[in-house]
Amino acid sequence: MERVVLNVSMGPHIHGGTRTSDIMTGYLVALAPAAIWGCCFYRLAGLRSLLLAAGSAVVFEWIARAIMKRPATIGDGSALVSGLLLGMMFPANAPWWLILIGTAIMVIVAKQFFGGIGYYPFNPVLLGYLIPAVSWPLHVNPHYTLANFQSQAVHLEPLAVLKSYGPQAVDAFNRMDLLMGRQMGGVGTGPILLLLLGGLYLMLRGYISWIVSISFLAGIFVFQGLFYAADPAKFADPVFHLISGTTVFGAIFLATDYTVCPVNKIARVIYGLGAALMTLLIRNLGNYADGTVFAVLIMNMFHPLIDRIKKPVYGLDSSIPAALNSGK
Amino acid sequence: MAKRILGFLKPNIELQPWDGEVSTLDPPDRVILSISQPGQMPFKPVVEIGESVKTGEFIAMSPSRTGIHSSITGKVSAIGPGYNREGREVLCVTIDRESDDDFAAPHPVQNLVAASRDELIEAFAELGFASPWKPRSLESQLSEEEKLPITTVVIKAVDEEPPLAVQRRFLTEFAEDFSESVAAIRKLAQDARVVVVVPEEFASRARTLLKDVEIFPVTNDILDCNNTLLLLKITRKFYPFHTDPRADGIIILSAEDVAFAARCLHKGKPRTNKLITVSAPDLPKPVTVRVRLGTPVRFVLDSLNIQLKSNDRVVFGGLLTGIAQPDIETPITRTTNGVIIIPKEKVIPFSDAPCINCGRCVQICPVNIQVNLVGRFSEFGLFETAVKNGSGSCVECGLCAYVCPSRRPLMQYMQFANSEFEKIMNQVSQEGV
Ligand code: SF4
Ligand code: SF4
Repeated sequence: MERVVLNVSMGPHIHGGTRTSDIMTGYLVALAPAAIWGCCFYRLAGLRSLLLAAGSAVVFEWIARAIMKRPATIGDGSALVSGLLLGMMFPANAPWWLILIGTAIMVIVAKQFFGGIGYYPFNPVLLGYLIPAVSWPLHVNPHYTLANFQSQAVHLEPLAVLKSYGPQAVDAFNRMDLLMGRQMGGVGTGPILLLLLGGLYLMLRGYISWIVSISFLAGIFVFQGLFYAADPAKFADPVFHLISGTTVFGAIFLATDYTVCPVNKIARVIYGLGAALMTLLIRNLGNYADGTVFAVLIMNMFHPLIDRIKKPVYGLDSSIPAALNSGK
Repeated sequence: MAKRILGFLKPNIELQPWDGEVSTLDPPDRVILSISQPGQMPFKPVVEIGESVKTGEFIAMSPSRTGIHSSITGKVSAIGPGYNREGREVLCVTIDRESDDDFAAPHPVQNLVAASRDELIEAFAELGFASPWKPRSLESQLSEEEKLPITTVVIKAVDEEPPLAVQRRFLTEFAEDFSESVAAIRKLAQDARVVVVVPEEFASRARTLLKDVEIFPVTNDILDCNNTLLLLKITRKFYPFHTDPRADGIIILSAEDVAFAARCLHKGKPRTNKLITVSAPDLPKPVTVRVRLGTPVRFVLDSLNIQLKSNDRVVFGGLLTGIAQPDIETPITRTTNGVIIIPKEKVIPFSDAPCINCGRCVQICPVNIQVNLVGRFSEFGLFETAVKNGSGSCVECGLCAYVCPSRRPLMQYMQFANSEFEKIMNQVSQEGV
């Protein structure tokens, strides 16, 4: 019999089937309805933002890996997803240089400086949005960038209205309008129903942690319920907070970034609730109209700490320390 | 395979109930019988190169008079080092077949249950069943470990992973032999607890068949059949890798060894067979066949008309923790329950891709190891930190790597940390002396 060369490697010899790139493809599918809606609603301006952000993110990732002489990672799709997410957060008419600076910061500084996917301490999308947003607040303000934008929609950003004119003013918003995306904001953060649909898909496929998303949304509802109960004249009602601004977008696509979110179940609940509480504190008591981005970023910082809340490992307390002590 | 509803990961890699005859393969042209185990005293060969041996004749003997027998009739062609399936060097006797079976003179023991205790043990030993009990006459020669009293005997009539379907067969196909052996063991074990682990669908059958022993039914879930987790459920004590259940008097026997003991005693012929499950893309479904001990896997594949191509993978054991073999001459041993051929296209490459922290491994780990973290500790050489965080509790089920989207070799990271840590500890204690 002629000699056959066998392939030798370790077990397991079967695999559950989900790969990193599958998860990223899942994200793209889930984001698609809201992104398409954004392109229809904001026309060419929306399309331009999304393409510019997604494309430049991929290019920057490729360049960064090439400079570092590391294997290219654009194949796992994470740069494309981050780029798309960032594009959906900026308002449609955001200047091109702002978008490019955002994606450069996101990919090069916040992601590849730390070693890429799996290693970064903060969600790069958040940093890619926040740093330009804090530096050029005017250009990420939809009221400014979209000032001469013609559409049939209400030309107001609900959370900004709430901040400036108080809870009575937001009664002008039709709840149904808000759900359907007729609110001002990022290219893809408006259509709450479509985002929820995408989120449902991701949860059913197990591509995001439903615990994080649900506890975030539940946290917003419950904590704002407490604020509202305390003083309805000062604080808006919880449902309004749920369906306006980046609440749903943040709960489903930002807070769930695996790398910076805890892995244990109870820790994930705490993480979600914490992010919700932070968001509300910023919205109700702070200076910024929409605090989701800051809140998630702060919780990112705490995730290794929260993740220490976990179930005890079998046999760890009795047997291993004994082995450790005997050797010392 | 893994359920992915709402992100609840539940392993339902199940053992398939198996229907089909056990067919017997022809005797192979050559057998390779290992007569030593790493870390154990080697058996002494009692044959020389060029000597003719009959089927069932002694080729090696241990100090406690357990024998190893030729499984074919032929000529000894080599005695020397070979490799076991873990890739460790062992002493092997190679026998080339020359004629049809010519059996060595049988010494049958008719009535197992009526035989005296020492008779039974000696007969067992002579026929190659290394029973944990030793005859009194040998007492002075026994090692410390062998003198420890036996408190619990666990007999496993379940298979550990798909697609294996070997051990569970002994409750149906070979039920008589099995029940008789269990009765004999019940007698040998005296006051010790005897627990027979059976698939739950056979529980009532086992209860009528086996007397005076505990029946422990388990589901088809592979975690139910994992050795360490089973022991935890049976003894309420956790025995991870660095602990030895034998030190507490617990021994684990496979149903096959047990059933063959009775069968061999009746016929007075030593054991020369092993049941294995073979799964290959050429076969419509896995088959279970009986082969001679020491049969090279090449012969098994040829007999079943299985064609190997370059870069296919030949795995000894189950799909999750089986070991891929570099050589198609590797022999089937008493602990080889299956041979799986994985075609080149289906080989799953591992990668050194970073962990994306998705948490799937943590949620699936049956002993709550924070696999994502501990895997990274091990990857970056922090072995002590890895062990402090529980890598030593790993029960080697392989589920973490099964679910990992980055395809990290997580189980191996655990094993690596444990073995490296042991080395460091040994060094420390040596320097300390
Ligand atoms: S670390 Fe992996 S192989 Fe070990 S027990 Fe946990 S899931 Fe199983
Ligand atoms: S399953 Fe893999 S990628 Fe996910 S947390 Fe575990 S090691 Fe990391």
